[in-house]
Amino acid sequence: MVATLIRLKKDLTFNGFNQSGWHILGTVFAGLYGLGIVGMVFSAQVMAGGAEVVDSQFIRTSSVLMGSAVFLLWLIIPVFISGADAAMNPRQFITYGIPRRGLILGLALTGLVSIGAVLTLIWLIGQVLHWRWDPAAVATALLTLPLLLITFSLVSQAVTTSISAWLSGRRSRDFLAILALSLMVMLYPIMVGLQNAFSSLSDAVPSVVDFLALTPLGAGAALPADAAAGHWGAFALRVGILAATVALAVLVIRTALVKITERPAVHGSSGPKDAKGLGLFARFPATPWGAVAARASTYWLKDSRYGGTLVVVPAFVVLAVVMYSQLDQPWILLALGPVVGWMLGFAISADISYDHSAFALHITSGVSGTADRVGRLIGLLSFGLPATVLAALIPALMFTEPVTTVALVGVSLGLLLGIAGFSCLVSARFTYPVPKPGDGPLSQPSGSTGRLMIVQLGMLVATLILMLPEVILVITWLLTDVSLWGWLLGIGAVLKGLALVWIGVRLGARVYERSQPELFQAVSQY
Amino acid sequence: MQPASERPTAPTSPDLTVPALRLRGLAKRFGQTPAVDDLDLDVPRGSFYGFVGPNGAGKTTTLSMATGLMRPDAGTAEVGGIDVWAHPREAKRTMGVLADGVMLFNKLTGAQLVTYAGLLRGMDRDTVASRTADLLRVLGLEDARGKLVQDYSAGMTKKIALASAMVHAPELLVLDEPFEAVDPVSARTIRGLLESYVASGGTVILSSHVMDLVQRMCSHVGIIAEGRLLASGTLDEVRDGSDLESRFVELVGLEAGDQELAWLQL
Repeated sequence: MVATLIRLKKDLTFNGFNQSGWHILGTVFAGLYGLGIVGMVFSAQVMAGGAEVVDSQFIRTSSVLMGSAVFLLWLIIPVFISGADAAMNPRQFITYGIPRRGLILGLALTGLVSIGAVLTLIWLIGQVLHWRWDPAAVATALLTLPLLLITFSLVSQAVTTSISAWLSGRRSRDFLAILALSLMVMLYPIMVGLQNAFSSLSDAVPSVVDFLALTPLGAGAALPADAAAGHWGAFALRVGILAATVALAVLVIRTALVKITERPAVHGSSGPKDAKGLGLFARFPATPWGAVAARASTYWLKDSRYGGTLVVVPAFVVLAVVMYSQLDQPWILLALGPVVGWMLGFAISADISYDHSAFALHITSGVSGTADRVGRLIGLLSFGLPATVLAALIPALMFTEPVTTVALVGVSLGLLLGIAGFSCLVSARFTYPVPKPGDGPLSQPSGSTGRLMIVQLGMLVATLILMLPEVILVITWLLTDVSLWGWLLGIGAVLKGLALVWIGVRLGARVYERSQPELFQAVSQY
Repeated sequence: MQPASERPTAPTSPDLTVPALRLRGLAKRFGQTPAVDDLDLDVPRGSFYGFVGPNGAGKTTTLSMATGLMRPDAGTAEVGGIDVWAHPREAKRTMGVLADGVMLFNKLTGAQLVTYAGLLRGMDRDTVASRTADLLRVLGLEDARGKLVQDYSAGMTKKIALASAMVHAPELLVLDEPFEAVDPVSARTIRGLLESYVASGGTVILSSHVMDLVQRMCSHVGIIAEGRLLASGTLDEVRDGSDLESRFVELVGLEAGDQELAWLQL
């Protein structure tokens, strides 16, 4: 049974490669990227372990920190990729009546057939070399190598299985993904907070390491240090912690599998029950473009794939304010408005891809290109304009004089409009794979990395070229220090943005009407 | 059904001799394999046309090319005499489409989705509101109007898609597999709605696997296999004395094999 499952995972992985060249390219890129990082870590491990005078305290610290990071990655990554199409979703095995013991072991071991597992294995071998200066430690590292690998895989499987069992509802999964996304953005402020709690980072490290070494995160990686120092009591304690972790993971997988296989979920009805409500459709004008705008805005609010972008904006503002208070670099605040405008302008570049095959409705009802383009644009601007202006005004509260504020607001709005107009044009012809409707904002569509990177890189280069006039004006202003240039910059940027939006919509509408069926065929494949 | 009586007068005078849907020399190939090969098809005005064929015969490809979802390699598609590919907006105005295997905007509620379809067609708010209410009532979706389409069952999803396709009172309905995954009760509702629509002068072309259903509902039948139309005409012409299923199997041919598994004999 275990062998069958592993073979299945292997076949699924390789069949995925047959789908498209982009998939292979993406995997190779991801693999090389991971290999690069692990390679660097590996050589650091080898060097630290072979030094003339070994700094055992340093090696313990780095081992525990790295071990905790690796453990954390194994914990978190399944949250991100647990879309409905995760290759080994335990839900797919319901109908086969596989003995539970075999299924648990099989699922845990199939987790080892992955790039992540190979990279982890390299790191673990690095650990052995890291400790090669002490016989007891190196023996411990060698013995715990397979144990740790299986622990990681089990814990990871526990997360996947319990998400599938208890959080399969869309809402809870969306919530998890958005939470994870905000946490990622907030990582810096959290670190800063932690740093402030201790007087300095280097003071904090020993207590953080001691703490981590007593949690499942760092216990395994701290074992060789105990062996080297002869702290056999602590050693036993950590082995206990590790054993308890494994036992807990198996228990969680088991309970979750029981839940999945013996009590398949009944999809309860949820959602608003208001009888009349047409929501935003009652607010926007009753025209084709008004309908598209109402639909787009509804999706901004209800679809977590869009919501992910919306959550990042306020998180970004908080991040910038915290960074400013720490580093005292005014440009961090000054950049806020333009960056928000730029991000939101890009946000509609994948709009049709997000529609997926539901886009058929736009084609079969013969919506004009202008109505489609304008509707999506208005949907974005209805909240994007105020959000961008607010972000651009934040630095004004703290220091700048009027002309800077005008220039900032102008450039931010110009960026929002210009990039949005550009997106209107580009998205009428070029699409790239995005998460399917119903998936979380962080689940990556398979085989997407290559095409996604090329389309986005192309758009980035094009926008940089489009932004040249502003850049020149800013430089002139800074060099001459004549405020007239600032006023000119602010007003000119808005006018240019308006012109770009107009051109983007006009051209985009024409391109859209010419390439509708090709667009539909492309997005319904994703 | 109410909306039928409110149908606006069509821009083109309904010339009864022009077929509701006319396909000429339609062709599409995917790589080396031809999916649809030089296909001619006439759907007479006021007919209830059943488009049948085995899986992969080219039904969805044909209907996609007739509705503007897929560009044909060659050939033309006309709706009421208007070329779908030369004058897409005019042709689509009088056509309602239920495509197979496409998602709906399922983060909208049922009522929102039908409203959206109506407004996209450029209808005014009041007409959309009253027709949406009528359609939801006739299709038995009144209780679910405020529920998100993503929480609908398969049958409810087909019904709300049908409502979105009908809200602008089209003259031609193109329905790809409208009865797939639909329970008998919903199927009966859909059938009733379509029959009264045809009785009031509308034209329906639907694709299906279920011969029995086509035989009971349709006035005309076309049989397609491997991208070619093998037979077409009124139901009686096509079935030629026998029943539709036998005629279908006769035309399409049985699958190979002796259809018996020695180890499955209990």
